[in-house]
Amino acid sequence: MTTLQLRGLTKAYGAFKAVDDLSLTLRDGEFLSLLGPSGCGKTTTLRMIAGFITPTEGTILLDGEEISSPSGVVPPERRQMSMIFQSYAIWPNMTVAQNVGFGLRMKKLPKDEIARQTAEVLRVVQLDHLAGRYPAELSGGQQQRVALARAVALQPKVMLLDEPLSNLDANLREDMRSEIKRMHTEFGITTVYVTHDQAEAMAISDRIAVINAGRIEQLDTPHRLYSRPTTRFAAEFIGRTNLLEGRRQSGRMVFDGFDVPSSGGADGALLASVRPQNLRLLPRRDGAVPSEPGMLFLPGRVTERIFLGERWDYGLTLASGTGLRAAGPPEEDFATGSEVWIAVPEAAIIPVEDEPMREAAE
Amino acid sequence: MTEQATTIPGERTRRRAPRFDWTFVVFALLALLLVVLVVSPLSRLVIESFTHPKEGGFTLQNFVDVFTRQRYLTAYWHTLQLAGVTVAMSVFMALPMAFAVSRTDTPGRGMMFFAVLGAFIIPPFLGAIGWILLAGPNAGWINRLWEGLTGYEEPLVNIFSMWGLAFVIALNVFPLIFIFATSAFDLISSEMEEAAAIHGAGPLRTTWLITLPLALPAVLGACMLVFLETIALYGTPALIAIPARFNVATTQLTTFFEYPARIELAMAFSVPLVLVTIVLLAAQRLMLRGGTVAVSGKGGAREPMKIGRWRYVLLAHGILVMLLAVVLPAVILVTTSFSVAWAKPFTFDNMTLQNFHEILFEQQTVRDAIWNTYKVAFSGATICTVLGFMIAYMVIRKMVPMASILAFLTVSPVAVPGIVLAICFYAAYAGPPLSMYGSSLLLIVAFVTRFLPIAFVSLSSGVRSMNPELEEAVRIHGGGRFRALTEVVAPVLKKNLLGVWILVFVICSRELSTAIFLSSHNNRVISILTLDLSEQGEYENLAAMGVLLLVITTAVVAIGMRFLGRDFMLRRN
Ligand SMILES: Nc1ncnc2c1ncn2[C@@H]1O[C@H](COP(=O)(O)OP(=O)(O)OP(=O)(O)O)[C@@H](O)[C@H]1O
Ligand SMILES: [Mg+2]
Repeated sequence: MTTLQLRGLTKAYGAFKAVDDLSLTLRDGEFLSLLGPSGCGKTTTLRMIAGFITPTEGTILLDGEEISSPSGVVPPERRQMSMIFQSYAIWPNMTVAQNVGFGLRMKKLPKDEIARQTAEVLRVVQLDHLAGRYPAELSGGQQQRVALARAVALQPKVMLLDEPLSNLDANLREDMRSEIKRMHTEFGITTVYVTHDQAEAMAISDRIAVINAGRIEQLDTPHRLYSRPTTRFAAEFIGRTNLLEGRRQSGRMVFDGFDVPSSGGADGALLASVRPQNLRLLPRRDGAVPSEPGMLFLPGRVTERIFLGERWDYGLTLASGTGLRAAGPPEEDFATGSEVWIAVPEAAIIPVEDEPMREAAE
Repeated sequence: MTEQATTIPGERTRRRAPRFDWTFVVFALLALLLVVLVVSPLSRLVIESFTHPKEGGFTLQNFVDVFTRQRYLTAYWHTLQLAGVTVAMSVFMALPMAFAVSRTDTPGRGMMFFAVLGAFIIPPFLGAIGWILLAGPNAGWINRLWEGLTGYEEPLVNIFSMWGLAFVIALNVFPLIFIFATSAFDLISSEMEEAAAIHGAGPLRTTWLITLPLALPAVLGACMLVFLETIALYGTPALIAIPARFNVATTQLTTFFEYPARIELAMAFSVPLVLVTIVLLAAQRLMLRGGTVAVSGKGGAREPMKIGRWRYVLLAHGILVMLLAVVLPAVILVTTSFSVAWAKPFTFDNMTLQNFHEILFEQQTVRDAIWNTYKVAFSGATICTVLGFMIAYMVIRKMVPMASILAFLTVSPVAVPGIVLAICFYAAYAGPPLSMYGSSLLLIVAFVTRFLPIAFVSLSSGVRSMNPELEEAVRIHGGGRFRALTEVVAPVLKKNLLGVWILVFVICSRELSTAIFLSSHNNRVISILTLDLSEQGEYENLAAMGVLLLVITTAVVAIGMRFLGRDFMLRRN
């Protein structure tokens, strides 16, 4: 059983806080991603977990034992973790097998045991035929697998990955992503994964911590993060969205020109998000206003459209002047300038910024 | 914004006491060592020069003495003249060769490269001996040939003159300019030259208007280095200026050590040399900074310029320089080493192996000097490499907050000419309480101080080029800092380490000026012995010793080139 806890972790460089009061708990075997834009403090957080950086405030606990605090840090070599670096950091002076067996050698295992375990791990990552090669003789993808093998060979308590796919080209990326996921399933190592690519984080993680300017904006499962973003930043960072400003008033969310029932919350200003995928377009000619329980039909006009192959991307304007974007299936074709009904499920309009921050209910 | 830290019941947090950190111990040790190597000797320069020789206490009298005595001022003036002429001569030797090798289709470019390497390898004092044998006014080979051909008794050339001295020094230092100039030429994209050609400039005008101006900052920077090298040089002036009866600054310095030794005066006399060095080194760095901006047009393909008949002019120039700098001195040294009497024609009767037999098996002084030289060079190179590596690692990886202090201390001896450094070490450690005068250890320590900057700078760029993640990977996978150093950093940088070791070994094995005040008959090295043997006129044994030195050096350099690539000695840094 491994639990990793970060409590109020802060790293300040002068007055600038690279990581700001960050708390989270990883459960045993969990795969958690730190997701955020460049410079938001992901690497700094990861390196604090690894023990390379001493926090300015806060603590890190591994299985309840304090391993980092401003007053002292257990050095990286005694944290029983492993890490995959952005550069892979494969030691060029050692063969593949020596690289992979290094951690075992540090544990002072007997020689034959090291050889056995190394061979085993190399087999899992399908590198057994390259055991005697030097890294310079390997392709990028193979080097990546060596790094992966080296990191899992130790059976570490926690595995840390810092944008391990960013140096690979698009095809290799997907292969490696599933390889990492496969390793995780196979060995069940508690994992912290750093990335700025939301699609990557979505595909691979049990939970994602969206980080902005050193703080956690939202910590949730990929699906909830997408369907129920709780902050403006999270809503905008995860997928594309339409943000609507309005008010909450006597149990309804009121926007310019329409309103929908609200599930509670205090009265006052409010920000809501609705994904382009949740909008559907219907032709609007003179005549009846469509109606359907739980659906909202807003009159609008197509001002712009781009064909993206898998879908249309429409720019729409409501009568009130509010702009929206919608995604439409390729076979439904609305010309620029056409008058349309925009059908929105009321439940798809998610209040964002007024909700109290909370951890996802699992 | 944050998740509640859940506390599992029964779980307790245990505080770890911060562990003892060895990095600070290593840092403290290195700092202490640098105090011994650098701070203590160099501080003597300031202390002694302001100290009254008899009463002690602060005084400016030493400086007054230095700047009012005509003889001393003349020595400075001669040194300036000498350095100026040497710079001009070296530019004339180096620049056409650098241009030919780097930019043109001149034939024999590989040969020119080896000519430069050869000139670099021949120790200055051996080159000087070679030229004394070639161009001494009476017995020199060139003058006797001249007399034989024309019947004139007046010598054609006289090496014992200011011009002769400058010429011999230039033959030895021109590789510096060659190195800087080629690396600047190499950075100029030939597209710049082609652009000039497209706009109607011929190859000559292109060179004059485009290529040379672009390389100018680097060449000027190298000129300053040559200037500094010349004012600091002791061996060649001792061999040539002393018999020619004129004084330069370095030969003047040795007279302060004649009985009674006047260290305070020597120190005060050295201060201007150190100041000039500091100013010129600073200027040189500024110059090179400007230079890199000017020639940053890197990356364009480089086509050798077709220069037509000029190729043969450049080829002839290269051959001439090679003859003067390498072939003639080497040939004369080799023939002399196998001669019974060097002034007689090198005929069968005159040939012998006796000289080698003597230096290797008979003459205890020579054997001791050879043994001592390689002992000092081996230890010096090893210590420089290890220390330079440790300091470079500490500094580049910023392992302690004050690491840059180490860097500053390490490189500061470059501001001090070797002979001045020798005086500093003499003042600091020769007398009581340590009384190290005459010990090999004192030589080793002084050589390490002098050459540590080279090792440090070179290894710093090696460490800097390494991704720190390689070391972090060691640590996160369970290895300590020391293991990261021994199992990853050192093996990855092994070529750099070997290159530095060889370079320092070679320059230690021929260093003269730093050894000058620190050797007695107990710890003489080959370079010092050269002066003695030359004074005694024992040129045959001297030549044999020189040939031995050259053979060993060449072998070491050849090994280096085999493992490290052709230009590891001639890289600029
Ligand atoms: N040693 C340092 N001194 C000062 N500021 C630093 C230092 N290290 C990092 N920072 C700053 O801290 C912030 C967070 O850096 P960090 O490397 O954690 O970002 P990141 O989220 O990993 O970004 P990226 O996606 O670009 O890798 C950045 O603004 C960076 O400039
Ligand atoms: Mg990063």
